[in-house]
Amino acid sequence: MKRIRLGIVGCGAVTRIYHLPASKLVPSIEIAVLVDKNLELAKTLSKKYKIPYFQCDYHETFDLVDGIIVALPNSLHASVSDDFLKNKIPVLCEKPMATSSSEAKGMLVASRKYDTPLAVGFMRRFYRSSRRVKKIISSRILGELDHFDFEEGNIYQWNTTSGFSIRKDTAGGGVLIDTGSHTLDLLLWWLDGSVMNFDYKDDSYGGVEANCILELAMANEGKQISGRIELSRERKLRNSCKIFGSKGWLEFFPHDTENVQLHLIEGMKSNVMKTESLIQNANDLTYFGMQLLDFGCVCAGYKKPYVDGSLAYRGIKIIEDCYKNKKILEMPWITTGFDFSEKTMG
Amino acid sequence: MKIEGKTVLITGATGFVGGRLAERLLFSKRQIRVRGLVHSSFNAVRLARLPVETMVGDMTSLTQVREIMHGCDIVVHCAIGTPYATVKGTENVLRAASEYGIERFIHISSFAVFGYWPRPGVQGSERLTYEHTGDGYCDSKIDSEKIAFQYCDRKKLPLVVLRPTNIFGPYSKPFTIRPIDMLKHKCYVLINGGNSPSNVVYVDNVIDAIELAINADNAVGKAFLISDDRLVTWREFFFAYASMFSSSPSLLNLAFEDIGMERARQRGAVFGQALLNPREFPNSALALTQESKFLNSIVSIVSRAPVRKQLEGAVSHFPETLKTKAADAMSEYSTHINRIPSDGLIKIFTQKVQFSIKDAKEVLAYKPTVTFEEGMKLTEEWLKYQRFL
Repeated sequence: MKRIRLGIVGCGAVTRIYHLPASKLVPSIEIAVLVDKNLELAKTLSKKYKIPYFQCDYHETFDLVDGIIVALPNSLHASVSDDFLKNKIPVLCEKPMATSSSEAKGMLVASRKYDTPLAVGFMRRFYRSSRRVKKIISSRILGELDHFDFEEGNIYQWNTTSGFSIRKDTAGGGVLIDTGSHTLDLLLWWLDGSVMNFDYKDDSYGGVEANCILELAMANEGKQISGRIELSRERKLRNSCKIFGSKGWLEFFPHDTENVQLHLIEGMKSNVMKTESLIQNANDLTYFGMQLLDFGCVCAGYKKPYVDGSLAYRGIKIIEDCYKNKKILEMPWITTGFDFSEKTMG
Repeated sequence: MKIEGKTVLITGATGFVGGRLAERLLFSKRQIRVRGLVHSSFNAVRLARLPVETMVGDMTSLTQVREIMHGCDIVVHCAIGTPYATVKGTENVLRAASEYGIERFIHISSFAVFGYWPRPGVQGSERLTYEHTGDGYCDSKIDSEKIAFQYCDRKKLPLVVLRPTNIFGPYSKPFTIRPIDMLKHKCYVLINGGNSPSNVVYVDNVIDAIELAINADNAVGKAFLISDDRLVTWREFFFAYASMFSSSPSLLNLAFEDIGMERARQRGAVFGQALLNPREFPNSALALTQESKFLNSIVSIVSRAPVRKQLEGAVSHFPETLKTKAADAMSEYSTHINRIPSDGLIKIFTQKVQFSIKDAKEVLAYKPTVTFEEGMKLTEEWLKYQRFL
């Protein structure tokens, strides 16, 4: 059987750590070309993974691939994806799909206009645990949904090759657009709702934020669910999402690909149920593999992307609105003696 | 000279002092541009919140140092690394500063240039005689200062050296995070009742001194000790941290003379644990054994899988009562694991000198504006936010 030929634009950390090793788990695809402005890096990785072509200009790959993975600094996602879509090459774009809603909209328009699929790299949606959450909520076991609390924070360890993630012009923002694009995508998907209002605070003083708190109300089946998202790149937080309903609550752990805790209240008793893993030793790489498998099927024309651009666009729009209306997080050890009443550093 | 309108390069801008300096310079809303040399992007999360021009690079590369310093007016050199990198990096930064005609070079040294056990009578701002102490950190600070003064004397680099004492506050690893971590694990020790002067200084007071040193033209070519104003003993310092916990952790008091005996007890505990429970042999024990070649060799043998298996087999044949009693005894001993500070810290905790900020007051007009109590309050708020408390 002919394998689907994929290319990867950008040989940074996500490509080296995830996409290339994951490609070895999926027999139906092959990485046919690597592209990076640092040709030496592309060459070294091509040699290591036995990839036939390496280029420094992605325009030269149009004839070599059935689909492309865009794994560049965030600010380049839209323009590069657009070029491939115009050439009718399906795109798997790393998250966040763009740094502004207008860019994201442009990508969706191009996808429709050229009738070419656009997938977004929200690989957490492939986790068994997150799919389980979706099922639990849809099944209404939790009763009427009331509120949620999502906390994710760890000491930042992601050492990007280009250093793009610490620059506003290349990353588009900090922890909100980085980790938060996953968080918002999951919540929008699980709760199948729209954001009614929000209050957003972060600690950016003209650069990219390391900490943020987003309080928001979402509409779900005519009802309002309020919630709080706290994210950090410098603090270890609880690292879980709790969703509360009238009949119980569930807890999802963003770093656990398999398990969800379900607490059901029956009378005065709270029963705790845990899901069990179906896949032995499943980890992030397993699900990057699943994402590639899905994208391979998309490129072959068998199906639509499991994660397409439309919901990702809504996430980007919320992030953009948050940045536009942000308030400064209260941190007296930083700000004592200074005036932050004006939005002069945003 | 005035700082307004200038471009300031901070080396070590991702660090504790450099990071706070960048914040303070940019929050003041004066027309100041700040550049930072960043070792890696994941260290730069704190700095990246600010509109700082950053460059990922290494201060031991003269080319990279030249590249980022090009166009700067002022250099505040806070970076440290390994002893080699500290000295080599300092030399590179001084050389580039001299080539570019930098208008003011603030070298952040340390009172460690007097060693951890300074001789009585030391004030803190005097020129050094450059006697090495044998400690890597102290000696690299001595060597760096020596080179800095050479550039000042021979190349007319407008240098001011600041020697902060023990700096505490948000993001301080040795004097905030580590004490809290150890108190959390109930393993902090006061030596001789903690009655020695701590010579601590709140980070914002150090930043004040840096800004004053940039402004004060009469400070060029001089070194200044920077500390808080009043005497705070180690006992007071650690009790301030202990009081942040809802149930105050106890601090073990240890006489200086008993340290040797306590260390021997620890070694016994380590050895006992290795024998009794080789599978869960704690990593902390490995750190302890570094002081003893004999114990180190035993630990390395015990840690090998086949030996561990043999030991596990042997222990499993012990009578249950013996195993329980021995485990209880070891558990009691194990609470002492790592309670004894390192040799360097013991010296810091027992030295008798209360350093003087007289020269900094006279020449720089330095006055610590944040009191010890205010500094601790801000630190407590940060610790809570960071969820250390």
